[in-house]
Amino acid sequence: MDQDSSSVSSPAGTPRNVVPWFRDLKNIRIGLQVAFLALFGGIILWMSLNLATNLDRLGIRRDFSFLGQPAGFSILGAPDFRAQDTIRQALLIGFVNALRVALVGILLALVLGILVGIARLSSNWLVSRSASAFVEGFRNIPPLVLVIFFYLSVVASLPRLEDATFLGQYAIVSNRGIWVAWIDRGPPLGISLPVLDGRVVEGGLWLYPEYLSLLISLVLYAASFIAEIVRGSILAVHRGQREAADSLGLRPGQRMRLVVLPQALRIATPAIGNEFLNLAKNVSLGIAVGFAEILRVANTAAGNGQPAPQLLILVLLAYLALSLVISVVVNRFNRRLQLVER
Amino acid sequence: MSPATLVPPVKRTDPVRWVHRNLFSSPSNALLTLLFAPLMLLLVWRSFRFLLVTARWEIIERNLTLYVVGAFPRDQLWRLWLALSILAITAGLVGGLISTTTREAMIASGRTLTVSWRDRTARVGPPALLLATLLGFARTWTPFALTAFVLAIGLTTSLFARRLPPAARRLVPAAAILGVVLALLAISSFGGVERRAWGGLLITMYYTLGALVVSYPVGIALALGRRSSLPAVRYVCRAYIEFFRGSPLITLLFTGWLIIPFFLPPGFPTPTLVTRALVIFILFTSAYVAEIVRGGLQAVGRGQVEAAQAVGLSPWKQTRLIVLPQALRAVIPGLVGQAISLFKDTTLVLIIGQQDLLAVAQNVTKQGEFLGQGYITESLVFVGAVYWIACYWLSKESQRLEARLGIGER
Repeated sequence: MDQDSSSVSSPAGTPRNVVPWFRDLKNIRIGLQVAFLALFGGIILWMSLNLATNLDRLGIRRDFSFLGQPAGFSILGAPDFRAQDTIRQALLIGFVNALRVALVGILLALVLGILVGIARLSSNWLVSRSASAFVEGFRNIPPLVLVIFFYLSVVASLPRLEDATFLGQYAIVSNRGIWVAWIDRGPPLGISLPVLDGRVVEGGLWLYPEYLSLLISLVLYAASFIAEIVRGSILAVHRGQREAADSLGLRPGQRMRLVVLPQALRIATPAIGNEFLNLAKNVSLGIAVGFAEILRVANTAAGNGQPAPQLLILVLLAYLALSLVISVVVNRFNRRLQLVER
Repeated sequence: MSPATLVPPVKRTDPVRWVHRNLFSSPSNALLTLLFAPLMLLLVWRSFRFLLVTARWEIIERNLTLYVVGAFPRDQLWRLWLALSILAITAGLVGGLISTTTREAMIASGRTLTVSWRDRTARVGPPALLLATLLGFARTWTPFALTAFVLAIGLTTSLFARRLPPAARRLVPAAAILGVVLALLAISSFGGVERRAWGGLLITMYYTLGALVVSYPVGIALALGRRSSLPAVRYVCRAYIEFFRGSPLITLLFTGWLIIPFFLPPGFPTPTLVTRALVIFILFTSAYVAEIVRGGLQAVGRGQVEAAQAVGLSPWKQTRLIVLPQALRAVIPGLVGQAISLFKDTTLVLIIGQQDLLAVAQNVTKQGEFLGQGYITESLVFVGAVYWIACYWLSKESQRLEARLGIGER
């Protein structure tokens, strides 16, 4: 009886056996996936083979040994880096620069975004209108326009260093950047004040024009999006919460700080995290004004004859790592904020 | 009087009371007002003084054509007007047909149709401002006349399309594609201008529209792939989406610029830089579209799919007829947002040496007569205004659409 299992007339034939193998859903699914993977893998393999052939044909190295070679260029804002230092060090400086703008930018954008978001809901007409103008103004402009505008129009139109503006002893504002009082690292711990000495400034923290314009633009752009998220989240907090706070006799400031904002931020965290990621990726806009983040450094190295494919892979990995770190931190924070329900 | 005809009382706006309520309702509020008012006044006054008095707009007047089309040969400009006319006819046809469809749908669902004059002027405002910004710097009457002509044929077609029988609506996708293809042919074929000579606003629009048209279908396919029951398909789509969403667009554009030629077999003709940049925009945008559409797919209730299965639709038909229409409707605002984002992102091509609107804004200040006199401010303010008005317009239209479709109301 078992020999003829595919036959319909077989009395012992179960329905499963009636279906020929090529119409069995399980086999079709496996076949489709194999075909899909073969197609996808085939394209990747074909591209990699072409890449290898082309690199060999042009006599470009296929490994990462170039990282140990001397860079042969200097890096803006990193006076300690010399041309004989390796490309590995140069890329590392670029990555640290990107990281610095991303972290400082995220902190400033968060603070500014929350303030503007609250201001948009202010009962004061002037304040809420100003906040709306800020949001509509900055979120509808390409960030690259902002970066170039701040670099070429705003910072460049500041006074020359010779006629720099002093804010007390604490800051020197000029078109060669802004120097601000900063913590003095060397022992003993103190405050290092910027001092203009002829044509050079000693001490303080130098915010050079490229860094400054990139940071300001990214902060303003991201803050305009964060403000909208904060506003939406505040509106999403249930009215009863506000009324309860009122009936406890909290003042409006306390109501916002102790009751509404903590709940609003819980709603807003995932969306704000997205904006952090966007800001971190936008750090690469710095290349337009010559800020030495990792893409700029890699581009300079590629211009000096180092292999572009490997360099760009490293840049992509660096930015993916940056995104990953930010999303891990935001997710942990988010999990901590979530309500624990039974 | 029946309750239905009761009208809310009109609030009399007494200026003194308004100021009291909105600016000086409490001591802290008054302090805020006194702090903000001088700052804002100064800002507004400085801006107006710049726009109307101190700005030297001659740099824009002299180079308006450069801003709009870049290095496009000046004796071929008629092709652009021809293409614009074709697009106006297409837009009129599609717009007219769609507006009758939505009108009927709204009548069927019992919603009111009254559009107040205020709404109407608010809708026309941004595009009119955009046209005024561009045409305001024209030094001859020709652009005015030609723009009026293009608008007129667009409006005429739209009025004509409203009278077409309902069966004509089936032609909407075909008409849209045909119109765009014809417009592109009018510019670049029959002795026309190659895309590498396009620049300014023209190339910006080319990247935006070209990437949108291709990346939306690709993105929808990716979103469906990411929810596929086949694990291999699911993981590959997910890897694609995560990779492109995690990488900065500039890095990808660099890859397209420097690396795409390496991925092609030796001897294969290298695509032009314009094509390579467009491909990168498509790959990048489709990953974002996929994530937006996935949100919409998740929002479609399980009951919908089960009902579709119950009436015996095939899986493909379940998706096409039941799931996708509802999913896409729910994410229209997100999709418009992505279009705005793409429009802003096209500025990045300046970094790989393309002459887009922003690149022109920088380059005109390097002309001999304008060099080194700080004209960059005027140039960037003009270009920034063009981007700003266009993005603002799109976002307002998206909000209007959202309200009209009643998303989030039920």
